[in-house]
Amino acid sequence: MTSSGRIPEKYRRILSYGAAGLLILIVTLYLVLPVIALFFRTTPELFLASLSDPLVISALWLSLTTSIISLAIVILVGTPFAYVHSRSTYPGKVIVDTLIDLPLVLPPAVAGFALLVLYGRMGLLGQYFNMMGISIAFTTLAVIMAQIFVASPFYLRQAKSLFEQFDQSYEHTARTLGASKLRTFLSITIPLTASGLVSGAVMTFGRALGEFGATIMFAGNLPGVTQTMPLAVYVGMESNFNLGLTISILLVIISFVIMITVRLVTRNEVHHA
Amino acid sequence: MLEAAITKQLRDFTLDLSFSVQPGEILILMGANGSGKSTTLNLLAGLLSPDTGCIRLNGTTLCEPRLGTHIPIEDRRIGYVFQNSAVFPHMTVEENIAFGLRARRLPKAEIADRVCQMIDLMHLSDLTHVNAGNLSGGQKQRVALGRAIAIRPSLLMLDEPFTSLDAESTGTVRNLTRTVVSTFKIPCILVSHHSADSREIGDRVLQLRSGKTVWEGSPQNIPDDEAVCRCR
Repeated sequence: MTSSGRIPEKYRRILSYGAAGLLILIVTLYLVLPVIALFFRTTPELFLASLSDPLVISALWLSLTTSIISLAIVILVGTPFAYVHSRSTYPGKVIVDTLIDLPLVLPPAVAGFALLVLYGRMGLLGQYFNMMGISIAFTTLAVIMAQIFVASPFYLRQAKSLFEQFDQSYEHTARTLGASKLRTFLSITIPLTASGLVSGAVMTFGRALGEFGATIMFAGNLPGVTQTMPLAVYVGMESNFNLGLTISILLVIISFVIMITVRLVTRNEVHHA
Repeated sequence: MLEAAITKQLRDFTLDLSFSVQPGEILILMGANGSGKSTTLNLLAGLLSPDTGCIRLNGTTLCEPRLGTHIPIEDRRIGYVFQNSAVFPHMTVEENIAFGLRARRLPKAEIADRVCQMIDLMHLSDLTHVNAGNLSGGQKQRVALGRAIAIRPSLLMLDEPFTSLDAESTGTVRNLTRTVVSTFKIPCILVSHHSADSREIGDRVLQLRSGKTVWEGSPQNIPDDEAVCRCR
């Protein structure tokens, strides 16, 4: 305290600005440099040539289709779930609240292992599916299930919080005007929470697209069947570095687009709470 | 005519009220915060259910728990204007007013007629295609009133509609409320904290305290001690 008292105000300000600037620079570079490094390890020609590789195409196609299906299921089931959950009081609600957040803190490999224990050929439920001739583990369905398990909390948390904070006088007004519960939900609640729901959906899509641990444990790594982009990066790193690089760059580009979309959507968000 | 005799156990007290409102009459519900005013409106609208009693509107029983009667909210034909106006910000003024009519599946021509009528009545002609989220507080309350009246309600309820309005807008919405109640000859209940509202447009005042009527009478005779309590 005594030493800072002796430094003139002008230098103290320069020092504090300098320290703050350095801190921002270090943190930003730490997070961005590895991503930038990816782009320096390839050339546009090599990148474009690798894009037509069957491994890249099948991984890209599988990742996009499974992530879109996962997202659609999460939205279709998660939206009514989050609405009912946020609007009702029932015994064990706090427990349900905690349980649906569990996949967020659970290591993805554990999530995949748990799914395998439940739905695998000898699993608790899987054995019965197996008796009916249905096998889940190590199929594309398993990829989707792993993605839903790991990514759905992003959407559920967002939707739950939106519905909890939503000003119910809009819904009450719609009901007194003659709208049914369903019409009120579809024409009032959903449009007025849409921007928040979209940002939750985009985050869910991004998480599903990047899913690795649970997928490799539960669905395996079969090209064209369960080998999504993150898994193809892993394979590429071991066998064909350029392919791994190309897929990584593709994932970076998609992630960047997702990030920009979320920022744009949330920037225009209107709060009706 | 609205006739209500209802009880409802609330967290701190039992709401126990019995009153009626004639067509064309404006009943003002007054009382401190938490005295049961808004709860009463919600019970009448069907957003809450009374424990016992009966609510009748123009001879039709809306709710009578003893007999298991409970007409759904959307079928009660009650126009309800909230304090925050609750205009739908993602719709235009026109779409807001048409909302209830579309929900009731009225013919398109009739919807257009009624929307035009309400836009004229509420002096909203310049704002027809404006997004309702961009309106001022007074304009929003006029849209909310027009939207509530467009469905030709059998009862109009307004929950502190002037609270967030300036003096000029308050005067305009007060006059419009009086006009629609007289024109359409509907009973009206208005919740307010201010004795000025009661005197300006009220026909009768019901003072509530802890869910019970503590005073009933003409707006001109509101007891002074009650006014003092409210000012505090």
